[in-house]
Formats: sequence, C-alpha cells, structure tokens
Amino acid sequence: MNTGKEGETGMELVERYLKAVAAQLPKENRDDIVAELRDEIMGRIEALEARLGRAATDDEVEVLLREVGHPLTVAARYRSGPQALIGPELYPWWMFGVKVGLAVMACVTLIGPAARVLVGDVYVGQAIGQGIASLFSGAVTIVGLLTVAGFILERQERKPDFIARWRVKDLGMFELGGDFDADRWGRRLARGDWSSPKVKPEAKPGAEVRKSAEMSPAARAVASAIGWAVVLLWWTGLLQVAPIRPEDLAGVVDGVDYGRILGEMVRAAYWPVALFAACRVGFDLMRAASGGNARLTALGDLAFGIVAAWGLLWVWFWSALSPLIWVGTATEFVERVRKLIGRSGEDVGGVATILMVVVIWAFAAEVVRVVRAAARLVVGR
Amino acid sequence: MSQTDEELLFESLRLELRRGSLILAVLASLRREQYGYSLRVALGEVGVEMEESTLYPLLRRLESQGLLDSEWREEERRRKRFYRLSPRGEAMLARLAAEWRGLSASLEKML
Repeated sequence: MNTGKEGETGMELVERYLKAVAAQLPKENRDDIVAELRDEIMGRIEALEARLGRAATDDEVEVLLREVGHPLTVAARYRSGPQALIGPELYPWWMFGVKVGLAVMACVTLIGPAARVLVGDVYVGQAIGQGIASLFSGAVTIVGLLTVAGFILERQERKPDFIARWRVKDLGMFELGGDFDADRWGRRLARGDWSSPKVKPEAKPGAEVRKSAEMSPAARAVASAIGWAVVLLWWTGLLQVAPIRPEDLAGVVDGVDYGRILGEMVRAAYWPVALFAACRVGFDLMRAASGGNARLTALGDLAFGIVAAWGLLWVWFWSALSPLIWVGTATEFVERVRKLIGRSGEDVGGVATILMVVVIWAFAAEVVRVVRAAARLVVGR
Repeated sequence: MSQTDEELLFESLRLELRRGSLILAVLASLRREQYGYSLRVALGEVGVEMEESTLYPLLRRLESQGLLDSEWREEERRRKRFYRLSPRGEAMLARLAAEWRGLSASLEKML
C-alpha cells in the first residue's frame, strides 16, 4: 500500500494518479483539468522538497497524493449535476413512496396466499412460506423501481410541482404515513406489545380506509395512482409476487377447476386489464396534477366505470366463468342464493354462487358509480 | 457527551459556518491574478484552508458563471492556468462583500 511497484519514481506515481483521475472526467475538458491538477501537485512536491532540502521519497509522494484525494472523489467534484442518487429535497418523498408502496404490496401479496388457503388449495404453512418469499422479492422490486424513479427525477431541471406547490388540505395522505412508522412498530413488537388498546386502531386497515375517505381529491388521486401501479405491476408480472400469478389464485373446488378457468380468463383479459390499469395510473396522476379537478375526476370515473361495467358484462356473458355463474332470470338468482344460505355439506356450486353474487354486486356498484359520476359531471362538484 | 464527540461536533459546525465564506475569499483573492497553487497557498496563509478537490472545481464553476477569466501561460518552466476576477466578478464581489459586512455587523450585535 505504501509504495508503488519496484522502481517506480515519484513522477510515475503522479502520472498514474492523474491517469486514474482522467479516466473519470468528461472528454471535452479532461486534458485541461489534468494539466492544471498536475501543476498543483508538482507545486506541492516542490514546496515539500524545498522544506526537506532533498528529493521526496515515493512514500512521501504517495501521502501527498492521498491528501489531494481519491481519483473518484476528485473527478466527481468537477462533474456538474447532482452528486447524490436522491438528494435531500427528494429523499422524504422517496421514503414516503417506499412506505406506501410496501404497505400496498404487502396487502396485495397477502391476499393471494390467504385466498388459496381459503379455497383449500395450499396449507397454511406453505402459504406463509410463499408469502414471505413474495414479500421479500416484492419489496426489493418496489424499492428498486422507486429508486430508479427518484434517480431520474433528481436529474430533471425542474422538480415536479407536487414538491413545491402543495396545499394543506392535501396533507391527509401523509398522516396515513405516520401509521407505518417502522421505529414505533419495532419498539412495540420488541416489547411484545401486541394487544395494547393503543396498537389496535393502527393494526386495523379499516381505520385507514375511513381516513382515506376524508382525504382531499388530489391526495386520493395520488393514493389511487400508487395502488393501481402496484396492481398493474402485479398483473403484468413485473412485481414478482411469485409464485402467485392472477391465475394461481384459485384451485379445484366443488369438482370445478377454477385454476383453469381463471387461467383462460387471464389470458383473454390480459391486455385489456393491463391497459385499463395503465390508463387508470396515468389518469390519476393527471388528476393529482390538476389539483383534483371535480369535472375531470367525474369524467374519468364515468369512463372507467363504463369500461369496468363492460368488463363485468364480459365476465357474466362471455368469459370462461360464464357457464358457472350465468343465470337468466331474477328468480333463478334468488333460488341459487337461497340454496347457498341453506345448503348442507354435500351441496355443490357454493363458490360459483358466491362469484355470481360478487359479479352482480360489482356490476351494480359500477352502474351506481357511473350514474353518480354523470351527475357530478353535470353539477361540477 | 465525551470530549472527542464535542470536538467532532465543533469541527463539523465550524466547517458548515465557513463553507459559505469560501467563495467570497476566492473572489477577493483573485483581484490579483493567481494560478491554482499560489492561490491555495495565499488563502492558507490568511487562515482559509481549502482542499484541491474543493478549490479547483470551484474555480471552474466561477469561470463558467463568468465571474473569472483564465488563461494558460508558461511560468517557471511549467504551463499554469492563471485566474483573475472578470469585470462581472468585480461587481458581484462588491455586492457579496456588502452582504457579508451587513450580516457580520448584525451578528456582531447579537453575539
């Protein structure tokens, strides 16, 4: 470490050092900077030798070069542009995004194994193992993607509007973040403080959902964009909630292979759903940028509601699931529900009936949403 | 807090305090033409120590901002890059110096 190769003189050490600096510098002013640096170093060596009254040894030159700084550090100072992956201004946003992204990802990830356990496709132990593996890879993906986004944003000349032009009424979303305070959670868990009444409100997502209902339109738009982005990543397989893909959520129940049916449906609906989620994310971001404009939101709700309703009609009439859930008349529908409620152990078709109710209920919800959106579009409020 | 912690804290606060004054010191020193090494020595003599990796990039930045002029010349058998305050730099230095004196005067009253 102290000396260079045998026989290397002080001058050679300096040249090697300068070469290493030069390699890190932009081509256009490389020679210029190196020439100036060389003059500085030679000046220092001469001053040192004048002080010593003799030639400097290699060790002394090496110490001097170390004082000047590591080539990477020295060259970096000459570079214009940010010197940090994510700077102090953007960092709190990155951190918040990570917290929210991880929370949403954890919910999405845990739904999969939970559904499979309920359907009886996997055992609880297996589900926990898969869940943990998925959580880990999902977390790495989310942090990675957010870091890439932060890296790009950091290098823009203008930071996005939401950083500087925020409004107090949009801050509801950030109170949410307080509930994910890892430090507090860590301390509580370390104390074994699972059941204290103070923890309970935080442990229930219901409280957060209610809170979200009080958020301002722009904050809701941002939250919605993040949620849909995670869904989109999961759907397209970019977010490895491995090994759970949409089509893996179901198994064989009541003698019907729901895995196959879901598989067919996912194949048929892959691009439409991906497109829908992508449009939704784009629209939510636009909505957030416009400060939660009521008419724009209503227009979007109207459009997305119609598309979603059409999607549900597809599920009802034309999808692979249709033969199982389709009923022609209201009487048939009521009959099936009655059978489900009063069914004994050997009755079949329970899951199909639940799905039937879910699809109809979802369709009704979309229709209501469309009607309300249309009303808001007219009123503008 | 131990003695060394106290010292480390003082050192970091001191550096932060001085950082803003470096540009002023460099601009003021360059009323007279200097090359990098002589400038660093001159600054060091009046108690403004600056590392090479801070000074040289700063000189380039100030030049690209039009506050300094520079030229390469041979002196003492070596080519050196000489820097000097540009007319724009002189005007800027005057404004910054006024700012510094005002700040210093009001702080003096507080301390």
